[in-house]
Amino acid sequence: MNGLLADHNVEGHVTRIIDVLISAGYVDVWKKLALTVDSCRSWGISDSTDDRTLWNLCQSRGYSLITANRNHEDENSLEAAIRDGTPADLPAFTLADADRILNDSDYALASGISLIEYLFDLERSPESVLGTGRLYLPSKTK
Amino acid sequence: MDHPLIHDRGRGPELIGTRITIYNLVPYFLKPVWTEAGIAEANCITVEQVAAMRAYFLAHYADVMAQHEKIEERFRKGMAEQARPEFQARFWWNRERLDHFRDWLNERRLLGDNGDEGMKSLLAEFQVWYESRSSVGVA
Repeated sequence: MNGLLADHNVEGHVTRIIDVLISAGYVDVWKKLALTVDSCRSWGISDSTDDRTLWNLCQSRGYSLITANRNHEDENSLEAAIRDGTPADLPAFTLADADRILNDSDYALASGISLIEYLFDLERSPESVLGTGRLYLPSKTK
Repeated sequence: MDHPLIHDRGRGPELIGTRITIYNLVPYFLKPVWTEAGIAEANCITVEQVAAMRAYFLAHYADVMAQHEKIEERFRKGMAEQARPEFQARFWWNRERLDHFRDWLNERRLLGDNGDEGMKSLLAEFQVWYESRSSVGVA
């Protein structure tokens, strides 16, 4: 995998997760992943790009999308794009409670830990993660 | 829909020029701690856009909340599916192993080992260390 793409409205949330991970002593762990974290703007794509286009771009570039995607299901929704995908597709990491990440450090850390766990599993045994579609962060809530 | 800031292209009421639907903002609207300015900053939009969405939310409260509950239910189901032991069994990494990996990396760095080998061999080396440690009953 080449990196993570932060959806337009969760760029600050992703920054917060990384900051909390670093504060909690996971700086070397995060650095080992050597991932770039990009934004839609850095890719030069419109903030209004539909889910399917964004999903396809991520797959073709070897990126996982981080999103708080909440919308109706239609033919171009993320759900539909994932359903039409392949077992080799990278997952879409979905922030289950995006606003809580900004107000609750423990929750932000739990989300970051889950993200790192999935990314290391992707390195160790790609088949365990590829094709799983949406993976919610955090994976376990207390 | 005839609104200068909001349209619906099939994803639900959405801010024009963005991917942000009303359902992205409902969780913020439901928590009194969030001000208009805070919501705007958190979502990379303007205060005017937040105000337009809040007005839409108040004017269509029942419809928006009904769809919001459907989305919440979809998330709950997805998370419950993901929490099943059968699904979790796909993965090797967990919090306990990650914390050991963090400490293992720190020790290596203190010993002057920069860990310049590739990720796969680094993870394989850690796994051997971790499992040998577990096999001799180290807590």
